[in-house]
Amino acid sequence: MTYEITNPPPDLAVLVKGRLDTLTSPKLESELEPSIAKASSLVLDLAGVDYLSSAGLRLLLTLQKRFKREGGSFKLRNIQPGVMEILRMTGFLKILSVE
Amino acid sequence: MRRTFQLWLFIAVALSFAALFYLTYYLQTKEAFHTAENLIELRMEDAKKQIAINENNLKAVLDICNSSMANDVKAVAYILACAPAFVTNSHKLEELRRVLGYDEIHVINKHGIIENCAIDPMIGNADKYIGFNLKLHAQSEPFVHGIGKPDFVLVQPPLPRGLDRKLFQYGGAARQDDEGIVQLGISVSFLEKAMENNSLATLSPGLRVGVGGEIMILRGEKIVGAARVDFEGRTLTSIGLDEKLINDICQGEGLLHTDIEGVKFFGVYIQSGDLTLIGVMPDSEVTRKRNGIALQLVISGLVLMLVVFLSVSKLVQTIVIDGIDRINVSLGRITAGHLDEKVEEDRSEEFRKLSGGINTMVDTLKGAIAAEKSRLNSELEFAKMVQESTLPQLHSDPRFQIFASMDTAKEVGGDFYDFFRIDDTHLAFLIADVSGKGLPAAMFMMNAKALLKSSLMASAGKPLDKVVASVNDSLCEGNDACMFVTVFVGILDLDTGNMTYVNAGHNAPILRRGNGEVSWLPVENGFVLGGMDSVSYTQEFISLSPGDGVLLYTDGVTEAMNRQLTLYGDDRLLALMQGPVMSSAPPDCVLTELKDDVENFVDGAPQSDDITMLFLHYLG
Repeated sequence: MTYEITNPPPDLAVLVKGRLDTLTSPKLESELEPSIAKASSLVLDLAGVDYLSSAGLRLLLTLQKRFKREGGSFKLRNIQPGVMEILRMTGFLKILSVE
Repeated sequence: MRRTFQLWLFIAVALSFAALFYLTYYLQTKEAFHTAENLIELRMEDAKKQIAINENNLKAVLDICNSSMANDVKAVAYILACAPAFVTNSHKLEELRRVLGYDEIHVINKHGIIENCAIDPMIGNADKYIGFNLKLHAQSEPFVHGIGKPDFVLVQPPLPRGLDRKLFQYGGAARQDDEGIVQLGISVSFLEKAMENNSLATLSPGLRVGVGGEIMILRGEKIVGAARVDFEGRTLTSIGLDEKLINDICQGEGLLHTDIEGVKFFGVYIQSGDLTLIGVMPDSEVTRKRNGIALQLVISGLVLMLVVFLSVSKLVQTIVIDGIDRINVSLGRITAGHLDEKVEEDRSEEFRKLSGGINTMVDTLKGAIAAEKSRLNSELEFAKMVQESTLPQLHSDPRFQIFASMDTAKEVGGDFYDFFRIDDTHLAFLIADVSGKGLPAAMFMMNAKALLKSSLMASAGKPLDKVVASVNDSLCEGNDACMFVTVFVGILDLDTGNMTYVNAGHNAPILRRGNGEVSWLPVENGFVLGGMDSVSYTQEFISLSPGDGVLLYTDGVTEAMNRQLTLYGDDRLLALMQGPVMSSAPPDCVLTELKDDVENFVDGAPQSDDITMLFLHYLG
C-alpha cells in the first residue's frame, strides 16, 4: 500500500494504491492522522485499491463517523469493481458518500 | 575497523621511524662535525709544528751567517791593525775584498765617515762611497755607536736594498788600529732562497685537510699560507667572510660556519703567536659519511617499518579482527532471527567471554520470547475456546437437517454461527463474521452472539428487521473501537417452509432447490451490525419446499487465496454448487465437498481467515 496526498488540508485529498488490509489500514490511518486533524473534508481516491478487508472497512467507518461527528465531509472516489462489490455487500454504500 | 587500525598503526610506525631517523641524523651530524673539528685541529697542530720548524731552520741559517760575518769582520779589523796599508790603499783593500769574497769593505774613521772602500765592480763604484757619513742613513747609523768601543761587533739582519730589493747584509766591528769601524757587506741572495724555502707559503701542500679542506695561515687579515695557492696574499673579506666573523677570528679561538666563494664550510680557528690559523672543511665533506649512514638508515628503516606494519597488521587481523568478523557474522544471523545460532569464538579469553555473554543474552531473549509466545498462545487458545465452546447442538428433527463447520485460522477470527428453535415451529439460524481478530474480536463476537440469540428468542410476533435493528443499536453502544459484524440471519417456519431473513452486510447465501436449481438467494444488502446506530434493515421472504437447502458461508470461503494470490471467489462457488455433483449431493456431503474444493484450490497456501459454513436442508 502506498499513498499520496494530492491536496493538502483543509480540503484533504489522498490517492491510495494497493491493498487495504489488517496491516496497511492502521498504517494509513496513523500516517494520515496529522493531515486529517487539520482537514475539514477528505476525499479518498481508491483508484489503485483492488482489495479491502474488514480492517479497511473499519478504517472507512472510523473516518465516516469522525467527519460526520465534526460536521465535515468524507467521500470516496474511483472505487474499483472488486472493492465496490465489497462495499455493496456489506451495506457500506448506504452510509458512505461516493463521488 | 581494520582500515582505522591500519591507518593508526601506519602513523605510529611512521612517527617512530621519523623520530629514530631524526635522532640518528642529529647524532650523526653532531658526530660528523666533532670528527671534522678533531681532524682540523690535528692538522692545525701539524701546521703549527711545521711553521715552528720552518722558523727554527731559518733562524739556524741566519745564526750561521751572522756568526761567520762577525768572525770575518773581526778578522778584517785585526788585519787592518797588522797591515795599515789596507787602511789607506784602496787597491790593497780591493785585494782583501776579493780574497774574503765579500761584496763590500768599508773603513770608517772616528767621525763615522767612510775613509777607504772596496766594492765589487758589479755592484758599484768605490769612489762614490768615500766620504759617506754613516750617521746620515738609518741603515748605517747603528754602526756609528760602536766608534770608540774596542769590543764592538754588530751584524745587521739581511735587509732589502736597491731597486731590485735584493737582500743585503752588513756587519761591522771596532777598528783595532784606530778609533773607527770596519764594515763588511754582502749580497745574501742564497738567504733569500733559504727564506723562501722556509716561508709559510711553501707549506701549502701540507695544509690540506681531507679532500676539499685546508688550513689557512693569516698574518693579520692577510692570508700568507693556504692549500689553495690562489688564496695567498688575499684577505678574508675577499674570499667571502663577513666582517663580524673576521673580527672573531682575529681575536681568539672558536668554531665557524661560513660561505667561502659560495661553498658552505665548517671550520676552527686559533691563534699561534702573531699568526692566526683557520682550518676549514666543506660541509658536504663533513657530512658525507653521515649522509651515507642516513641513506642506509632510511632504506633499512623503511624495510623494517614495512615488516613491523605488515606483521602487526596481520597479527591483529588474525587475533582480533577475524574474531570480531566471525562474531559479527553470528550476530547477523541472530539478528536475522536465527536464535539457535551460537557464537563460538574461543581464540582468546576476551573472545570467550564475549561469545559467552552474547550466547547467554540470546538464550535469555529466547526464553523471554518463548514465555511471551506461550502467554500469547494461551490468550489465543482462550479466544479459540470461547469461539468453539459456543457451537450449538440440536436434537434431531424430522423436518430439517442442519450441518455446520468452522475451521479457524491460526489467529482467531471472528466467525460464528448459531441455530436454535424459537418455539416448536420456528428455527432461527445465522452466520456472522466479526471484523478484527484476537481477544477483542472474540469478546465482541460473544456479545453479538448473545444479543442475537436473546433478541431472536424474544422476537415472537416482532418483524425480524426490527429485531436486527435493535441488536445493531445495542452493539453500537460503547463500541469505540468501531468493530462491526456482518450477519445473515433467517427464521424458518418448519411447518410451512416460509423463511424470513435479513442480511446485515454478509455474503449472499446460495439457494439449492430440490430439483437441482442453484442460485444466489436474493438479498437486500443491509449495513453491518455495530457500525452505526439507527440503521434500518430490510426483511425478505422466500418459500422453501421439502428438499430445498440454503448454504450460508463466510468470506473465508470466497476469499480463500492460493499461492498465485487468486481468490476463490463468488463465481467459483456458484459454479461449484451448480455443478452436477453439488446440485444433487446428499445434504451431509455438501459442506465436506465444498471444503475439499476450497482446499484443492488453495493448494497448501496458509489459511488466513476462518472458514465457516452452514447448510440447512428443509425436509418438510
